[in-house]
Amino acid sequence: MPAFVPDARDEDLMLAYAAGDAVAFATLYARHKGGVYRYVLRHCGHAGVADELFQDVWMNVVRARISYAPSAKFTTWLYRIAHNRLIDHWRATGHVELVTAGPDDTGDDPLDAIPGARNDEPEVRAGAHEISARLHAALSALPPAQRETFLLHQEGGLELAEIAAVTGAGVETVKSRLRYALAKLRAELGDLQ
Amino acid sequence: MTTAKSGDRNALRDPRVDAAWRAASREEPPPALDAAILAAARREVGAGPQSARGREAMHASRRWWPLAVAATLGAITFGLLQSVTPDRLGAPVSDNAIVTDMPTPVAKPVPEIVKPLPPKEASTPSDGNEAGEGRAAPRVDSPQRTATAERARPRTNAPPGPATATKEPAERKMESASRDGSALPEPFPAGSRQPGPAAIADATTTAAPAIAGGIAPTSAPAEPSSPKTSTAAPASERTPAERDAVTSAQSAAAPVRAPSPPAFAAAQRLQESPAARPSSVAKMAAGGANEGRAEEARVKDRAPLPVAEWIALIRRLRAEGNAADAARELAAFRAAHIDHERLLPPDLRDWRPQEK
Repeated sequence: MPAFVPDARDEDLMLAYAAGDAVAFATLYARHKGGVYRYVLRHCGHAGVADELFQDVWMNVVRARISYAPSAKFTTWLYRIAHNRLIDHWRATGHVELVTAGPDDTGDDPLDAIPGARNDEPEVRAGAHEISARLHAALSALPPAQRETFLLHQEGGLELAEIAAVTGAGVETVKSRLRYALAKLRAELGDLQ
Repeated sequence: MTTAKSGDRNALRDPRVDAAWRAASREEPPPALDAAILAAARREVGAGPQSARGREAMHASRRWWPLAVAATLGAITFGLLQSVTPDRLGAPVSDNAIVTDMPTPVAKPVPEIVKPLPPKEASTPSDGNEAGEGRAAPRVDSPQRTATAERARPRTNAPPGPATATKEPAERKMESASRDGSALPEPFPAGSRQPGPAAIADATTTAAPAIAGGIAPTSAPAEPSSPKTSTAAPASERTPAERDAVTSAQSAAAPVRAPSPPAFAAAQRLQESPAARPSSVAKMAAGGANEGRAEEARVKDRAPLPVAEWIALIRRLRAEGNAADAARELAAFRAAHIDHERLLPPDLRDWRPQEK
């Protein structure tokens, strides 16, 4: 069994796992489990659902190892799986479709109509740790598309083009969404200085 | 453009937000979920490579099966060859040579059980007989045997009989065979074709005079000057018990294999010998009155006697007034022993049948 260096590329680890190396998968999982979990959790707002979705995401990774080809960054591929799983979840639960394609941020993004999670409720916001709670509340108050863009950028470390590849939106759209999201969060955290 | 890109990147990064996010967002999946996912991942890929390794290991172990089977079959075959055809492999030849370091026991076939071959085939068994006698002789080129062969040669070549031409190369073959000690058929392979105890005893009893007197079995048929002397006289003068032993030994060997060339040739030599034929013809002509005497002579012809007994027999016959038999025995004795002048006592040495 080959010994992997700590800074091995994600793509190499995934290829190694596709070849049957379970240690490579463990390394990959250790690297990305937090980001993916928080990405899912921030979207659904419920730990139990997040656990289920998170497990589904990684099981999809496991099952898709045979067809994996390092044509893009591993994180792009991983978060696309997570994004698709979220869409399936939204569809299954009757939520408005998480449409990412649309006009650039002009203020009339249909995703803005999607209600936020319970975290944005005033009572929840007051009971949590102040910064964390207010940040999470501000994130929850973001439109899903902006929130997803922010999460992909912040948790997944994806660039604009990669976020665009994951969400299927244009790069400029992603850029606008991210700009809007940061502006709202910055405004939320402004008074904490 | 690069400047614009980096500007965009900086515009999309807010250190305050990043720090606040890193401080606030630290949720991790439950350890149970981690374990479940990792176990599932190991299980998914663990079945493939492990089974592949298992198949490879099984394949590697199965790779030895044909070799093991081949080795087993080879060992069995070798064992069977060792036990079935030791004469061809030549393993017990040295033992047999040591035991049969005697000239007489080879020409032991009983004439009654061997059918005469046509004259056309007579020469071939004769050659085989010579080779067979050489085979029965020790493989080691003993000086005594070589000297015996040397002494027998002039007697063999003396009569200008028809068999001389065929026996001379045969003798040469025997000598060369005894010299190199190989490439000779085994008359009695170890095991099934070994002569019986009686035959061995017979050989033991005859060994002493043979060694002492230098009996040359090949010289016996080369005595045409004495028609009444049987060629196989040393071999035919046996007691009934010895004959039975030899017969039983040969009959025991018969189902295993056809009579070996040396034994067959010995019988042929008895049948075709110019010395034996006139003797039997004379006996046939003697008629019914001489039936008992002829039978007695035939019995005597079958087994050789030790020198002392033979001399005693001749003396007894002469004392009984049976001069003809005494003369016949004396002639047979002289034919059998090259140095008969030394072995015979003075009274018999000078005795002639005509004197009577």
